[in-house]
Amino acid sequence: MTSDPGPQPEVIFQPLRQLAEQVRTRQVSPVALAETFLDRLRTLGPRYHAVVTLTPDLALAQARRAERELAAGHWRGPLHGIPYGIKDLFATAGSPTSWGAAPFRHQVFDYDATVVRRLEQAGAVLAAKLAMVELAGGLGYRQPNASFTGPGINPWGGETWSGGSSSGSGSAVAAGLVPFAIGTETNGSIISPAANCGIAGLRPSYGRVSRRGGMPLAWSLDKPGPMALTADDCGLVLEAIAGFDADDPTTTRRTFSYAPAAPGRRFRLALPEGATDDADPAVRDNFAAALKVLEEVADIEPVTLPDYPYQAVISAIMMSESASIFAEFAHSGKSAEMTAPEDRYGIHARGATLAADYLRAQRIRRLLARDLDRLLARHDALVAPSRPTVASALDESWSRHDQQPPRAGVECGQRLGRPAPARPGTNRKGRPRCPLSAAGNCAGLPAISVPSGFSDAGLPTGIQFVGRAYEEPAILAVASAYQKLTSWHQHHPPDLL
Amino acid sequence: MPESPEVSRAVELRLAMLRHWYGDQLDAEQWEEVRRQVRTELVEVSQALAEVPLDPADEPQPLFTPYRSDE
Repeated sequence: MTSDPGPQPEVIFQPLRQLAEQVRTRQVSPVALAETFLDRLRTLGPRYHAVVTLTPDLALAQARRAERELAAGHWRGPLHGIPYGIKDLFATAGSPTSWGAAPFRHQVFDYDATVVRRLEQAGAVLAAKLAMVELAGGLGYRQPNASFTGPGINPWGGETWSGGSSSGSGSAVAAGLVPFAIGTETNGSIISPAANCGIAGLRPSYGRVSRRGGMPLAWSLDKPGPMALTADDCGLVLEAIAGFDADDPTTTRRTFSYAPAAPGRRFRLALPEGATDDADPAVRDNFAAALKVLEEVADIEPVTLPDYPYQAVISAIMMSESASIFAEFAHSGKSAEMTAPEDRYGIHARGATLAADYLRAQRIRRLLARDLDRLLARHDALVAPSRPTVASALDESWSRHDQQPPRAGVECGQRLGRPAPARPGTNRKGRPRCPLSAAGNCAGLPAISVPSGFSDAGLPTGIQFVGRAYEEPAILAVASAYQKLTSWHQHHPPDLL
Repeated sequence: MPESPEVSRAVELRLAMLRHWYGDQLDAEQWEEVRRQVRTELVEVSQALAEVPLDPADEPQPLFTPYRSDE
């Protein structure tokens, strides 16, 4: 592999549309592009604990194929010849797929996940398997150091966390190690690292993208999705990976075609009551400023979310489904090899989940999905901060005593390592004031997080738009409109420029 | 907040089953954590779910459909 970084200044931190045009017009060679990003992944990846496995042979073979095809006048589309990384939760034939967990670090599948196949068909170049929280955080981790590759480090501050569970996907995009990445979300695992790392992250509707070949954490909640520099980038990637898959019976036959266009009217946004009640001052201030900006293009109406115990519903579903998925793992005793001490016993309790509770949660889920749809039918999106805080310090942890029961795990949706005597962010029955992550994930709704500014310490904050099921075009349109009015997405970690 | 007798009993019943399955895998401190999880993530979740009124006709979200290879 060359040590010459090649056309680095022109291709790093470029939106996909511009990069694609450079490739299509052959100003930039896919092979040079692959070598550039492989070099960054190899040299900078360890700084952020972002990479599990580099795939240089595959990347260069795919890049050479792209180069041949482009020379012959065959352009597959905007991802043709573009390198990417994928959360190490997806099967890639012949290379390890660790699920971020030491007991599985040598696991190798003999097939490619559907997402990987679709990206190959789009001409994209797989450069790396990216780090993640062990078993996608499903065992109840309470600290950033919960992966055998080390805690995900945020490119915006060396001592802060990239977020989880798609840690490497977030930090790799933010550090310009890949133009885009694939993550997954069960309950916050795309939105959270996207916000922490100051990038765009799109959680598609449940069933929009095939889960085939991805580690299941909770069958009825898992959703693969893109993470990239802009909302527009996410739309381009989603178009490549979305669609019905006979190998995943939950995938929808509704087609997704990304054609960015303003709706020809003002957007209609819904602001949930309590959206910033438990937010840090920087998050609250930046969100208020973002709403001011959005008022240029949108009408914003305060709303109250339907009253359901969203956290309890998602917790019961996750606990039950993951108990079944990891039953053999629990009995094997291999959980003793997990990195975070709490993940060594986190699987055991859920074995006692009652079937009646699971079914009750699924019954409530049907009602809450109906009521959220009624609310969203009148709006283009719900709008709220992506997370209540900026990225936490690497050495912060969830205190064992200040967890907010019931807690759904997976992402750090709660404040980290701080006393919570009054259960901040909760109202009666211990419910968070704005349980948008649990609500959106329970109902399978799409969401996108884009950067909304920075804290005094220089850490990014995010704003999220949550849409009606299968209405990714609406949230992409409003997020893109916001990004046209702001420049937060054009900021990058200064030491990487 | 002190644990109610009702919650304690629900927790201990479930813990007995877990100890039967995994008794030799975990140490005392880990079992304390498992007990906390059973209380907060199973028993208290169950209580929160029970507070939502449901009609018997409110079916679960994932509905089973019979399988046919040609459909």
